[in-house]
Amino acid sequence: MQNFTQTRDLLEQSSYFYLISVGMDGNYSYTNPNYKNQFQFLHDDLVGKPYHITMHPDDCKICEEASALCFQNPGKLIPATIRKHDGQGGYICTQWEFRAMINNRSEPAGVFCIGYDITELVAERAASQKINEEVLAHSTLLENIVFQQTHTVRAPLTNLIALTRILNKSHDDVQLRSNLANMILETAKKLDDIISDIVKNVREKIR
Amino acid sequence: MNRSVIIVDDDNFTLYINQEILEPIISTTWKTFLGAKAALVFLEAYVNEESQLLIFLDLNMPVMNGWQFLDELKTSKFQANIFVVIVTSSIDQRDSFRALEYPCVHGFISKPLEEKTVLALAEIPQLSFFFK
Repeated sequence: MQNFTQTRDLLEQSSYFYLISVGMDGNYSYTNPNYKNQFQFLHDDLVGKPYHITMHPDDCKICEEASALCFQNPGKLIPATIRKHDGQGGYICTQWEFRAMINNRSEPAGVFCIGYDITELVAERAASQKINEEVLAHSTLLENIVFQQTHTVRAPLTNLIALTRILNKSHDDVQLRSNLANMILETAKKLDDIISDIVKNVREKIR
Repeated sequence: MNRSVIIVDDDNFTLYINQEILEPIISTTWKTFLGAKAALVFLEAYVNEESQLLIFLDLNMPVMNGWQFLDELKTSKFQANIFVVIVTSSIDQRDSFRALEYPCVHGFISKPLEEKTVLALAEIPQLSFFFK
């Protein structure tokens, strides 16, 4: 218990970390002022109140499993991520490390926990993931545009160049010139359709 | 040694254009194919230890594209008698680097095909026999 006392003294006044201990009866046996202030909207003093009143009901199981692991692995820190009420109908996200408390008679005395608010971190991580997904989507779009330019657009474009060159050489053959003119017209229409499709598709994707 | 040239593209106008450019320069018989599958069937029947084939191959084609065609050539018993020149609208360097990794590919030409570009191919010893 000596270790917990020292840690508690060190972080008692922390405005960043939460420090709590929960007894074997499942009730808070200690909370530091930072934790107390955070959940004052539930009770002025949480000590003696059930540990789960601060948390999202779905996360009680995580808490129970982490606590069980603490007693199976005395001395080890067991991580847990738990959502807690924010007092406004929503939740904050908190990251914790649990450690079993053993009394002088080597009996389980409760769980000592140190935690902090990671709500902003989680939100930033989600925002960052969203940005990454958007960058990937834009990158894919650019790759597609490169492919379309180099293959889809250039194919009729290069035909226009080549057909015009042949046309320029066929001075005397009226029928050939007429055929080439039709081929040029058809190819130009095809190119126009391709460009219209590209603009339409890109517009839909960047909307 | 028998030799022949084939032009493979999915566009009729391109086949016409390439044929117009190649016909005066090529010294052998030639055929055009409006797709890679039909070209592959011809190739399998034509190429042997006594026959060489020069292929002007487009890359972006439906059903079987140029890359798939090149992959099929890798399984041919007579790879040494098959010479490929890529003729594509692509100006993407990645396509040329990728194509030239295939041992049978001896050239990469960005369309439009031009006589001077084809004549440069005739300078390549393995391909020279196909040109006038």
